[in-house]
Amino acid sequence: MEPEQPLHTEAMLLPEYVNRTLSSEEEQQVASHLQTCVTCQQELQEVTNMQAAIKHTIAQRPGPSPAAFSTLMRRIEQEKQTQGEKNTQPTTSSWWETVESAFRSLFEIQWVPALASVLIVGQAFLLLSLIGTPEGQQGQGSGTIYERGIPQGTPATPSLKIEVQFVETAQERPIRGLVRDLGGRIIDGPTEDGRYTLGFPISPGLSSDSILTMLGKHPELVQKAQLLGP
Amino acid sequence: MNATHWQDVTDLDLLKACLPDNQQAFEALYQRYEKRVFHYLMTVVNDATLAEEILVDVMLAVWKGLTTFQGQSKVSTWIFGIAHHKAVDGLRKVTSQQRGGIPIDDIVESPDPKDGPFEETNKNRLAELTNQAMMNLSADHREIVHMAFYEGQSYPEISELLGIPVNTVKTRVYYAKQQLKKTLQHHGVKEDIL
Ligand SMILES: [Zn+2]
Repeated sequence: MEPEQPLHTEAMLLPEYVNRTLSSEEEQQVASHLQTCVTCQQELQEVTNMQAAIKHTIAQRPGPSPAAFSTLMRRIEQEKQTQGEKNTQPTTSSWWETVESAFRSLFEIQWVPALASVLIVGQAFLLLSLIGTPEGQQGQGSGTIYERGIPQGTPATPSLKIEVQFVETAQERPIRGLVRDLGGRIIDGPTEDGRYTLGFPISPGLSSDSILTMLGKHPELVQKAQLLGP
Repeated sequence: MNATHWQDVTDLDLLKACLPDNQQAFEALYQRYEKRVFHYLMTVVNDATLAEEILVDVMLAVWKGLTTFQGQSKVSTWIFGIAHHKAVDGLRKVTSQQRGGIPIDDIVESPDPKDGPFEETNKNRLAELTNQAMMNLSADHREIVHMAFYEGQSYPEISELLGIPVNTVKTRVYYAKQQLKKTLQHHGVKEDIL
């Protein structure tokens, strides 16, 4: 069905020749070929005329309505708001930044230096356990935090268990950041009324009170938090 | 400062001026491209409402990409590359009936005497025929005709924005042009006009 191949390779370059977008070498090649080839001269004429007709045709089309621009601006505003929400929350970018921010938050609540050094030794293990693949999947409704990808699973070590109810509108990423910053993980949930159980490894200097205090500093994410016991 | 302030600024400088959050510069960028992108989208999807929806998507993607654009390609190539991807998605939404345009045989063959002077009428009829002939090409062919003949993009640029080899661009433009010629000749457009 396709038309036959052109006789000369130069014929294929004619639209570019007309547009003056060929390299000077190719342009030279086409120009000298055109001096002797009647077929390509005719093809050049056709290409030129057809381009003129197409330009005339398309230029006659109306442009988009001004409403398109207002729609665009509205959507950009929405994007900015979404981005603004993200930017005010801890985000994870690089592995190192994750480690750093996790430790900054530890020092902010003035945990004993001894704990910090223990954690520095154990940081790789801690991070690995955070990024570990979820296990113990349970049948859960759509839109749960579990499905949005927060790592959870059964902790290998005994832990403090804290039950948390997150604010309904809280986004997954800041929640994930908060749980991670506190060195915990989600080990169960959500219940039907949206409560999660967080597990924190038991270690000297880490009290349930300090965790609850930290959670309490994030009312934009945490609606309720209470100790379930070890 | 209004949009005309940006008239003599290059695409790249205009793009840079949009950052960090210069709405006037972005508006100027939009004005510079709205018609071109819209016309391109009309060629591909042949539906004004859909083309306008996609235009908004394209320019939103441009806005989002402002911080990551590295200048590795021309601004126009980058924007039309985005438009190409969005147009391909958009095409999936329209039915084949809408996509095919009006059958060429439905076009009124004889000029209407009240349309004005003969020359003008002929030109308009040729424009109408050309438009219909384009719409009867496959989406790939009318897209490349638009890029090469209307936008005047170079083959390497078209290759980059469509993600196909330069040789494919060459043959596709050639075949699309032959197809257009055939259709137009079939409808009585004389060799000397073409
Ligand atoms: Zn030749």
